[in-house]
Amino acid sequence: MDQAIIFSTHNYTLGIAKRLDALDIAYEDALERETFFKLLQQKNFDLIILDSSNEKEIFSLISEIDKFEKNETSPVLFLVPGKVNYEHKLEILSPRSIIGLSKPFEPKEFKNITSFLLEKKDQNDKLLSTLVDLQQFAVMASHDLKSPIKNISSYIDLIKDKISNEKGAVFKELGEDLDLIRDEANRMSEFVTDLFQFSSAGFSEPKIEQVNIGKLVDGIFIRLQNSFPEIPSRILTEGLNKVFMGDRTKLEHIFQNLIENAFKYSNDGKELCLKVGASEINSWATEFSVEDNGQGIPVNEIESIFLPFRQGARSKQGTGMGLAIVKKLVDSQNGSIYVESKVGRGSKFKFTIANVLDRDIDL
Amino acid sequence: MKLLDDIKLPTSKSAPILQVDDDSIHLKIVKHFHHKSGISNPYLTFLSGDELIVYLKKICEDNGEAPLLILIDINMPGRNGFEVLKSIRELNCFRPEALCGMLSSSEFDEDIEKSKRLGADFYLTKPDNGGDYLDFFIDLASRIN
Repeated sequence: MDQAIIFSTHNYTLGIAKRLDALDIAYEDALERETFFKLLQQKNFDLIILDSSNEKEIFSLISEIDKFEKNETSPVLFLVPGKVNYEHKLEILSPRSIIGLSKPFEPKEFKNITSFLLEKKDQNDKLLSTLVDLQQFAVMASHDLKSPIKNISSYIDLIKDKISNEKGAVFKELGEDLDLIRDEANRMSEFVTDLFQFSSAGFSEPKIEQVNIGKLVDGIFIRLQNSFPEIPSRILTEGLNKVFMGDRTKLEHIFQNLIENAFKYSNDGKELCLKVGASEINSWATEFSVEDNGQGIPVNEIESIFLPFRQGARSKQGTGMGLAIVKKLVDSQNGSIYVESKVGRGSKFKFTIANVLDRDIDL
Repeated sequence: MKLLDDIKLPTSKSAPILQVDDDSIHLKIVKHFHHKSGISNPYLTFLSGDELIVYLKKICEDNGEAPLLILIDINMPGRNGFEVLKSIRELNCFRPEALCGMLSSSEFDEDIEKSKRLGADFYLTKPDNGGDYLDFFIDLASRIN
C-alpha cells in the first residue's frame, strides 16, 4: 500500500485526508513542521503532499526536504490557492517530480495527479536500482577479469624465463610469439582497467582536500616527457598557483588524460606547446583549460569524442575510453567539459568544476 | 610490488615466506620467481586459510621458526583474507608478531583500509609481470643480508 505524508502550513488537512482515504492511500498527517521533517528523516514515503497559502513557501519547504538522505526521489504534490506557476522550481536540485494543484480542486483531478506521481516514483526507483546494479556489475566484472589477465602476462614471463637459455631458431621464434601474446594480454588489461575506471568514475564518494594544481600538472608533464622522449615539448601554465579544494585523484586523472592525449596526437617533428590554465568564472565554479598545438580533431569526430570506445582514427594506441572517463569524472564533480579544435592547429579542452567551499568540508 | 623501507624484517635466512591464495597458477608463478631470485628463505604455499592456520598452530606448538612474512590473498572461498589475518593475530604465539600483509588483485580503497584496520603490516597489489615478483624476492634477500 502506498504511503503518503501530508503537511499543511495552516494545519488544515482534513480535505486531503478524505481524498487519500478514498484512493486507498495510507498517510501520516504531520501537524507541525518539526514532526514533518522528523518523519521524513525516519521513514520512506511514496508521496509528499504540501498544502500552503503560497508557492514560495512550498518551494522553500522542498529545499529543506532536499537536504535529507531519505525520500530524495519522493514526488511532491502541492496545493495552493490560485494559479500554479512553478516560479521557484528551478531552485530545486533534487530529481523528484513536483506538481502543483490549485485549490479548490476536483477529486478527479487530485486522483489523476496522485496516481501519475506514484507511478512515476515507481518507475524512477526501478531505473535507479537497475543503474546501480549495472554499475556494480561493471565494477566487479572488470575487477574479476584482472586476475586471470595478470596470470597470463606473468606466466608468459615464466615461460620466457624457462627457455631463455635455449638456443636455436625455434626458441627464438617461440620467444617472439610469446611477446605477441603478452602484447595482447597487455591490451586486454588496459581495456579492463579503463572499463573499471569508466564504470567506477562518479561511483566513489568524492574525497575533498587541498590540491595544488600547478604542482600536480608539473608532475604529470614531467612524467609524460619521460614517456615520450622523442617529442620535444614545453608547457606554459597560468593561474594554477592557487590551492584548489577538490578531489585529487579525479583531478589528476583528468589532467593526466588530457595532457597525455596532447602528446599522443602531437604533430610529427613539431615542438608540442601546451598551455594549461585555470580561472574562477564565478564564486561557484572554476574553469580549467588544456590547450595544445597538435593534430586537432576533425569536425565529424568532435561530437562523438566523449563517447566510450571511440578513438581518434589516426591512433592505434589506447582503448578509446580516455575522454569518456574524463567526461564522467567531470560530470561527477558537477562540471561540464567541451572542446574547440582545428585540424592541424590544435585542440583546447575546457572543463568547469564546482568550487567546494570551506564550509562544505568536514574538518 | 615492493615492501616499504620502514617495514622491519626478521633477519633469519631460514625463516619461511608463507603465502595463502586459492589461485594455484598465481602460486606457481610466484614460486618460479622465488626460486630464480636465489633467496635462501624457503617459500611455502597454502590454498586455503584453514591450511595456513593449521600449519601456524603446529609451529607454535613445536616452537618452530616464525615465518619471515605471510602473504595473504583477500578473495578466497571459505575463510577470506581478512578472516585469515584476524585468526593469525589471535594465535598470539609469535614475538614479535608475525609480519602479515595482503597480496591481492583488489585496488578497492575499502579493501586497503580494511586491511590496515585489521592490523596488516602492508598491502601489495598483484603485479602483471614476472619481473616484479623477481624484484620483490631480491629486495627481501638484500634486506636480510
